[in-house]
Amino acid sequence: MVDISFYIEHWFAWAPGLNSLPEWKEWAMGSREILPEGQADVKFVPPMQRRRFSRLTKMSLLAANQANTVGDNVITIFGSRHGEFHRTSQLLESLIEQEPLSPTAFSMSVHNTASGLYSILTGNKQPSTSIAAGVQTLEQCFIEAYGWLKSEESDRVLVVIADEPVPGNYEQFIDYQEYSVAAAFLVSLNKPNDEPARKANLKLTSCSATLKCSEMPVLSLLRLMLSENDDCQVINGNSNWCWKSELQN
Amino acid sequence: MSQLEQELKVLIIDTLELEDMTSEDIDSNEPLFADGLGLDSIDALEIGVAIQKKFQIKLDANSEDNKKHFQSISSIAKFIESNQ
Repeated sequence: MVDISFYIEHWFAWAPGLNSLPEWKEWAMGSREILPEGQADVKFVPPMQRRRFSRLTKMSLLAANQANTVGDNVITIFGSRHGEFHRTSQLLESLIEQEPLSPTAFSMSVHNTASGLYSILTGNKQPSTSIAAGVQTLEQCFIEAYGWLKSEESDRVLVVIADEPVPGNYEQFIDYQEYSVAAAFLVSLNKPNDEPARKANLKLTSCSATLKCSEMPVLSLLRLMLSENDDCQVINGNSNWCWKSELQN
Repeated sequence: MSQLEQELKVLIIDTLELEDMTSEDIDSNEPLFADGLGLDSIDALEIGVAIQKKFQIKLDANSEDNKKHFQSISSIAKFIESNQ
């Protein structure tokens, strides 16, 4: 039985129209929505490098960059249910049309695109993992992070989650409303000294929760992080993972 | 500058998504790779695909001459003219 606890020291999330904490708070209260279109601004990347980035790559790198407050030598985990699926889909369409494939799109269509580019950009030589685990992608990323923390290889691990709606042809296979969302979480086993942090607990369970959500799992976790309550819990309605969180001063 | 060179510049800017760049920023005789415009090997492949698509030219991927043909905008233009 998995039952793990860790601290979320810092986090950052981006979605079209939601660029800052106050905007996310408005979203959590229901007075602001995620817009259908929008690009993450990655001006911190030199133009010649960022020109090849997909929307998903940009979102991932922005979140990683903003949540990482500890410098470049941090173990990273990049999770995405669909990864660079828009690239793959475009490549498949080119094949159908019998057109030559774009070498750039091909080279950037792998699941670890963001992971690789982040390590190149930051010169980070620490291990990096890319995970796709269907509706459990979010939870499996934190289990992986917990493993790294327990191995004492590193005090902190950066977990980056990003996804965007699948291309139209594939919508019928998707079980919940998808949005473009990227979020990054800096996690550790020990409470950071000087500031309040949320202790998160993750458990595979059938416990009754205050909130059972069939939405993108990362959005459920963000609701938890944004909660006004000191104690709260939410169940990822797609997989029965129960998230609890408690604010510690 | 020939019409073809102008077309090539626009093609390269569009294909390689060279944001913030216009055709005036590219000198026809400037090297495209490394010290010149700063393009890399993936760009070379991408330009190859774009030119084959647009001008219906066959490129031999293993040809030693490619390096010469892809030196600059003007050399690509000459290569296309001699193959049409």
